[in-house]
Amino acid sequence: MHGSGVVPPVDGDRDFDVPYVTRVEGEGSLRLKVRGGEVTEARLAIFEAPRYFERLVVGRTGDEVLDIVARICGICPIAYQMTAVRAFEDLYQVRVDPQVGALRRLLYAGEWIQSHALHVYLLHAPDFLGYPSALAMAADHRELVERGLRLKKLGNAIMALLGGRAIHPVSMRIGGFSRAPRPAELLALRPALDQAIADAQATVELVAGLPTPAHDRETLMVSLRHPTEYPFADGRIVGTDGTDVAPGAWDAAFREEHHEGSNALHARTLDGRMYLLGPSARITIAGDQLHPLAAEALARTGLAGGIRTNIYRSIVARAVELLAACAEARDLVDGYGVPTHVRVAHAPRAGRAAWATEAPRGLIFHRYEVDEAGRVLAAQIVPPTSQNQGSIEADLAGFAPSVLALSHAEATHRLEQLIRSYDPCISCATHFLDLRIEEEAGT
Amino acid sequence: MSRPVLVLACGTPDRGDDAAALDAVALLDLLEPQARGRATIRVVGQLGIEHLAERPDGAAVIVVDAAVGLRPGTVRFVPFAGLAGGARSPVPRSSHELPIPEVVGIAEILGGPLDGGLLVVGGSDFGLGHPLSPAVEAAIPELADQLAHAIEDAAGRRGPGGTG
Repeated sequence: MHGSGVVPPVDGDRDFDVPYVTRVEGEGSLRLKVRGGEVTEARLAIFEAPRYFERLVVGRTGDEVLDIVARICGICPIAYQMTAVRAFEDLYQVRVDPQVGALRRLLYAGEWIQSHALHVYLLHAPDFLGYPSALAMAADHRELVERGLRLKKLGNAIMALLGGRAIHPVSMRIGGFSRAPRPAELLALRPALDQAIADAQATVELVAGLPTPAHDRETLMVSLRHPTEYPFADGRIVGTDGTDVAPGAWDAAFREEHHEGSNALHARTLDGRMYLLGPSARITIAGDQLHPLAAEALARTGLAGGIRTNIYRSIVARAVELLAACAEARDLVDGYGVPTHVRVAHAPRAGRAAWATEAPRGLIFHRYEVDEAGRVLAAQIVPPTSQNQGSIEADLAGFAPSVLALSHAEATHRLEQLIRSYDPCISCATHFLDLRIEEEAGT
Repeated sequence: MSRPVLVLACGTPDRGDDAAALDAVALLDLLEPQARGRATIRVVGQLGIEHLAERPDGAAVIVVDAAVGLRPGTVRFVPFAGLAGGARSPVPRSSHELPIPEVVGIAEILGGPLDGGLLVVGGSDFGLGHPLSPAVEAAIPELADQLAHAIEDAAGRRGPGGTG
């Protein structure tokens, strides 16, 4: 299935080098060194060129920042925009129309739907079903790919309708939106939402039954938690260790640090501990706020405990959140009324604009130091993947001993599968293609 | 009656050479109106399976994109046939949602054989806010010209279903 090389001795020296980890967003490599049966180095290196977005926004106003940060990622642009807009609105004490708040929640749900559907069906399911690629899986499981694409298409449609376009959306503004949709435009999504809920329920059933490697461990988890709703863009930053800080006070509990071999900063708690973000953390910390349809589906799996302790079960958490996002999107469409104030005015002021929201892959934090004219003096953008990087490497080191008896190819595959469990997004938005044609003489 | 042709222009206008396909399509409007009139052109940020799977019945598809791994400014046409798993396949290093051969292969599983191919230009600078690199800027007329030829060729060919 995944290769069957000579099986080396369990206590021997092994090197696992995967120069390009596939089916993740962006460019990263895996390096694992085993000496005498002990893991001596575990590293997920991120070597996409640093993009200097924190410098690019200096001198810009809040609305300009929204347009710039949307270009950080082609998969989760809403997360970047939403975090920035909430940061500036918090500083400027802007209170948006309640229907604007609902539209923003619907927009974020759209991003979760497209991102989770892509990851569950095309990036991660092939691992569990024993295929080397989505293409190989599609040949045998066409219906799964079609279901995944239906879900993803709905997510894109929501983002395109509310954001102006699905990739690098443009409609989010400080104080609201540049345009609110007509009710009929949202109601046109209703049949697809009904289908999506059925598809997402089938997704939960599917992934709950997938064979899963054993890898139980306790880890510190962090996510937003809100008293009355599942967290998208509101709530306090809460940890399973009792951490509890305001959404703009991430740096009161966590810090960034450089690590050799990676262009991304890692993050730790102030006392140096690694932590886990994302669907597994959110369900562990805020599962009691799931939409009733999602809570019911999660209960049927009986895997709430497994989600907490085994990162390979993140595919179940992601599927439950897929259902939650679809169900909540339908509720929001049903309850929609055109905002009285599509966009409220704001007055810039000097200070610190900071906020955290929940990207599909986990907590994202932005901080901007702003002058009296509303121009950015300094910025800090902390994406979820860089926060998860330490946890990924710790999981690799902890899991590796259990695969040393496997063939090199199979062991490498299991390690890559573990990395994909985090749904790392190390992408730049540029989508360029690496073609590498070998030129023939004379052509 | 000519065969329908769908052109998928991949890229964004604000990332250096990533805008090459968009510029080539714009030039096609100006210089090759006859070829332009034979094709439906869609600008897509990242090529998705759905863009290929939902092509019009019987349509040939030409994907225009910038690529690395080619000398900057070099224009190449790579037919879809044999792309999936072929020795000349793109290395799966793209930050498209999936590697191009997988996107094409899955689209074929869902929607039948694809006729057409990738028309690419080698790029070098994809920085946010950057202009086209000089080599790619100089290659845009050739990219547009080859796109016009690819459209004319595809429009005149019979499709896999023989409906041409």
